[in-house]
Amino acid sequence: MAEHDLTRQLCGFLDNHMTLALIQNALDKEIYKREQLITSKLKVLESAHFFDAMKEVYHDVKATVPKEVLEKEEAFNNHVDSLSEELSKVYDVFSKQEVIDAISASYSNPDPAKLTEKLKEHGFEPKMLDTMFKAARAYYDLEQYATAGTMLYNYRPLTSDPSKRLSALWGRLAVEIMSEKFEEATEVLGVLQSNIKETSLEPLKKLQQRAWLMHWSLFIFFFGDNGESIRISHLLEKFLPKSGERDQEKNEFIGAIQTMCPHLLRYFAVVAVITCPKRPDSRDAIRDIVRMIRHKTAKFSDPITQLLECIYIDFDFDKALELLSACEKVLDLDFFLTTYRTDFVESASKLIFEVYCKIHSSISIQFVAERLSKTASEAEKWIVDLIQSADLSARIEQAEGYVKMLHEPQSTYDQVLDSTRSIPLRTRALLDNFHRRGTRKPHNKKKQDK
Amino acid sequence: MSRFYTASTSEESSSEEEEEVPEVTTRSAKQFTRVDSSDEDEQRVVKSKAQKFRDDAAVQASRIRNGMKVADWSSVEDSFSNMCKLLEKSKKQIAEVGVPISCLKIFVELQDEVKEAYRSRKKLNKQQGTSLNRIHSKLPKFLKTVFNRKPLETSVNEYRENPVEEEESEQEESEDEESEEEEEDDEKKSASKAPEESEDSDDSYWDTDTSDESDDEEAGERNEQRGFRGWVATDFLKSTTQAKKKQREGKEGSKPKPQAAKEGEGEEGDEGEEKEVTMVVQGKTKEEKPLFEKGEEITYDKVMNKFKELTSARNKRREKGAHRRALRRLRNISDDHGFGAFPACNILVALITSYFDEDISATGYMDIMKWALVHNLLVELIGLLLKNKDIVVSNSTTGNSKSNKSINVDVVRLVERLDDELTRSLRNIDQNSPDYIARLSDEVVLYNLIVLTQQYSRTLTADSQCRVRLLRLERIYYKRTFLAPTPRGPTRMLPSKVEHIMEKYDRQPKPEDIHFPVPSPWVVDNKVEADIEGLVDRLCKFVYKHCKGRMAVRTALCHVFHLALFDRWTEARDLMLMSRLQDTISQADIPTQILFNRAMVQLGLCAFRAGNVIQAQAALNEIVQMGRAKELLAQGYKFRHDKSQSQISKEKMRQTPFHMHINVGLLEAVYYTASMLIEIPAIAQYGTGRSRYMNRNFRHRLEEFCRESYHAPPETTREKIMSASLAMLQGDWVRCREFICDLGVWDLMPNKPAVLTMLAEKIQHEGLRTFLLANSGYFDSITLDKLAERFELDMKEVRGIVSKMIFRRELYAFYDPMTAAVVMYRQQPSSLQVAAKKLADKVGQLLDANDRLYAARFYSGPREGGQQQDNRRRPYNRYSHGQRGNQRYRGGGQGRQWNNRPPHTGARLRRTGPQ
Repeated sequence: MAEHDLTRQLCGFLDNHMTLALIQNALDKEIYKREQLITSKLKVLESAHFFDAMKEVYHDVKATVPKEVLEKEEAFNNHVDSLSEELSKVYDVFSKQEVIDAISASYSNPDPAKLTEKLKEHGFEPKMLDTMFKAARAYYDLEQYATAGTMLYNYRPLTSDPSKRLSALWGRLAVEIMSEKFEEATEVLGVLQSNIKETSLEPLKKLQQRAWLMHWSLFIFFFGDNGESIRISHLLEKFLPKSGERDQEKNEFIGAIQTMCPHLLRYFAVVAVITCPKRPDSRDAIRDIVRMIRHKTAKFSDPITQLLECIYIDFDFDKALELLSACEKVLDLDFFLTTYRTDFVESASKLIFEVYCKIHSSISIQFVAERLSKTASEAEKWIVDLIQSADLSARIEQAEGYVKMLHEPQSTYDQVLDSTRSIPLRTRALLDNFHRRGTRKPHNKKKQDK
Repeated sequence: MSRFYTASTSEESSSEEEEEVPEVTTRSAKQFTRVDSSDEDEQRVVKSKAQKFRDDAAVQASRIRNGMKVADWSSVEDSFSNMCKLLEKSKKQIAEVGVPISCLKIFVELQDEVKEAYRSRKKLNKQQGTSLNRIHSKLPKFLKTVFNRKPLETSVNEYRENPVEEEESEQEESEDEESEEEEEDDEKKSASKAPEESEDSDDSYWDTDTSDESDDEEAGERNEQRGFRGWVATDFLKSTTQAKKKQREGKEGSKPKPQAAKEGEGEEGDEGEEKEVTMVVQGKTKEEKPLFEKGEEITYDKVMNKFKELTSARNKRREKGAHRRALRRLRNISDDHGFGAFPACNILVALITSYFDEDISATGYMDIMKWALVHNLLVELIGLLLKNKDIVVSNSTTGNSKSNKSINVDVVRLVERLDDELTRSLRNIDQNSPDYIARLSDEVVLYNLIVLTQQYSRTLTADSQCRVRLLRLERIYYKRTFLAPTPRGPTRMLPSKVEHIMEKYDRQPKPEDIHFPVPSPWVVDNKVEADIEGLVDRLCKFVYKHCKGRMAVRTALCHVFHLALFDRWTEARDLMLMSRLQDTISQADIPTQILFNRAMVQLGLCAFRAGNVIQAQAALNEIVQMGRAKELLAQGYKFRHDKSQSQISKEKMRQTPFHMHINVGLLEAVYYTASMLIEIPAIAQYGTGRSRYMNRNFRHRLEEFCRESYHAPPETTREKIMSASLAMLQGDWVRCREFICDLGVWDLMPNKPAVLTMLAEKIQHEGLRTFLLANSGYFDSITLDKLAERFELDMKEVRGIVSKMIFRRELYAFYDPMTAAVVMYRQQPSSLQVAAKKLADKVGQLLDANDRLYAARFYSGPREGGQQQDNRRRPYNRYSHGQRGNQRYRGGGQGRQWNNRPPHTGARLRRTGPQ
């Protein structure tokens, strides 16, 4: 059951609080052995400072709470107490209206040094910064997400250290995700993405940060807006390049997928398949994913990628249909994808038959009905829908019980158009080059236009 | 006699012409100074009879020796008869003093040499031959008869049997012995003390003396033996000749000698003996200036002060040998007095650096012997440092460490130098000679040292640790099979030299003369080495963790190479891509670029073995394409008119040693085979026009091949591949497979059967594709089972391939499930449509022509675009772009050809269709 589960892989890239949600999911669906999960849950709880929850767990498994845990709890509480003393001053400063205005103004025009100077007039001291950062972390751990969020909001424009600013942003993102404010989270995600791009980090660190970003965004895209299908397509838009687009940053994301987190292919593949009927760009995404699978650049294999492999690489439709049920199971157990199970199966079978139609000259309705366990009339209707949505032309020969595909070859007109389409553009480029050259003109200049 | 010397030297060494000393003295400056007083020039020397005899004998001996050296037997004969006369004449003296050792020695040599030469006498010309014959018959007779009381023969035999008996002086060359005896004589006779002699004149004498014996080529050799001799000398000093030394010291104590003269002598002794390698082995002692006065109490501080004194004086060029000997003696003294490891380490470091400081001889690399010596010293040094943890080694230039036991040296750097010297010698030694193998076997020895250094380096900075690991990595990354190394010592003598000695002296050097003993801490653990993948992994991870920049780059490249060698294709490729080296490699130094090329090529081979033909082709493309693989991999160089001499010599310095070469024939075979598998279906599909992955080189070769009016049975690899390509294009995949699988070069592939299976399968698939693309026009429908039968594939595979082609619109056809056949759709365009298409094509061509024209006029404009496109198309290799120093690596015609391509063509004109 745990064969295709990704909890372990995903947790490596997530925050403690998010990890807990995943572990809870695994516990509920009984994917792993309970004892194992409990121990790992305790570990996570401890590092997240969820001592009350830990006590509960110990109570549930009828074990006494170890001494160390109590000690740590006390240490943490002391830490929070000591912070709160210093924090009162911080609150004083940041509750002033002028300060609030200055900070919100600084977001459009960031200048930490100037802002610090300005705030000093209102009793701000540089050492408060550190306190604020620590406090934000502590409040986050205490699940007081709003307070932590404000703290970080105030903190970010004041610090001049880019890496600190980056971690403040990560904190913000975590806060927004955990407090389920997905609108804000999307915004922060965008800021974070551009910040990662701009901050000079080691290539490996950057790669890592991007991998995290993709993982965290899963929460936003799969849970935001109650999971409308249009929403999840943002996952593709954000991280996969469109056809013909040469976006360096998106290539970086692909690089991150290939090298650090190939398991994300599942999510991309599912989203691409689901959105395929409504969104033509998803086909490009599918193509990218298939390419990654084919060249084994991403070392990952599960029923979903195998399905795509069957459809687009081996053209083995029987096997693809068999795989559908396996995919269903995997999706059911997955933390993010549970709700998309039926959508996926439906879209995937459409995809299979779409490709099938493109290759075959005729399709027996009986065959479709058998494969999809539908009645003949249902199958007929389904096929008609498919043909319409996939932009194919076909005729049904009902008497003989098959659908005859009408394949129109590309007309000569289109071919000529295609081959000459680039000519104006190229001529223009040539001309521009001449102009840029200025005085030196060649003798045999020719102009070409269609 | 000195006339003789000067006469002979004037040709070879132009140095000391003005020093022509008339008719005086033997070679030795010391003697000269001792006998005469202040004046240097034209002093007539009064000599005793015995001394005169000895001098004359020495002259004759050296003449004989010289004659023998050049196999001038008539002159040997002359000198020999002179010698005979001389001996006859001076019977009286001989009765008193005994036969001079120089004579005994020369007789021994003469016997050997004559015996040797007599065997091959037919080679000599008539005159020489008769002379030789005469000597051959005279010599034994003379030896038997000359002295009645004790025939010379017995003395000679005694000497031959036991040359060590009188090692004090006998191992010396005649000149040395002579001077030494001379010295004793002087002492006995209490000859007048010589005043100080300036060092210069000393040196000049020394020059005159030695230069006749050593021609330039042997300079290295000389150095070698000097160094070595010194080493052994210390040993002797320590052990066997203690008594004599004491005795001498006693004498010295009573009658201290002029310092300069002595040093001169030391120098002489050191430099003078280089004629015979065999002799080197035995030790000698020599009189040197004592480091400390007799009776002086030797303390730790004094030793250290002396050391400082010595090191500060080390830059005087001619005194290298003396300097080293002094250091060695100092070390012995320090050891004798138990001053611990610190002075010893200091002295070792000074010795090692003094070897490295020396100019490298004309051969371009450090001599083998010296290398071995330095190696031994380094092992000793590191051994000491390992044992004595309190000695701090720092390589900070400021030298601010407070500890009084700190040595300012970069140990790793020393090991690197040694490593470098080994590579350099491998580069220079003929790769087909046994010398190369002998030298290569020293790699194990060096490896041991590196491992030892790695153990020691734990106390050093992370940077040094990384460097040691990189050294180690670079010694193993290219090795595929593990052979358990046997512990062995560094080579002392190369086979060619051994042969030389055998020829000359007719005896096999002892094994211990060929190799040094195994270095004492032998730390190479075969278990660790056998798991080479694990080892490389550990080494690399350490470096990645602690280092950045060049070292990390080199490590990554070695790692890629290694992974590719072990067929870990995805890992190797990911590492290559992750490290983003393709972007930055053009800024790297050239050795690193070469390493990059090597890694790239290995990656290509690995991709091929893994069946990733496209990647294999892409990786090999740039390197193989222009036929400059050898150059780019630094496995050979071409002389081109645009290369200056210095460029060529630089290139030579960068050559990859032969044992690390990647077979270029194999590369070509892989490249062309991969190209065939990619290009032939494309040609079938698009004709000879442009296609997506067009490989001009391959197409050009194929066209050339097709133009030949008659195809003889293919012989070369490339011809075979071209024949195979043609066969595939004609749909004859079986013949294609035969040609390809028949290639001999696949033997060089590890895991050959798997490669052949992969190839056969690929050929089947691509053959099917080619067949369908080329011939679909002739069919209305083809059943799948017919195809399967024809290409010996199973139905499922055929269906997969055909489906893919249909889906990609490569084949305008559909699969009919009722009849299990592929139905071809064809449209017959009207003549208007054909004309329209043609016109569109022509317009495109015209535009292309314009672009090309523009590019030819204003080179740089479209070039930018073109280059950009190139970069995109060739993600792997940016080798030829970039920095100025690299110009050499950019092929003359290559840049033009690529850059001439108009900026916007490429994929645009390709037939479009849904993917």
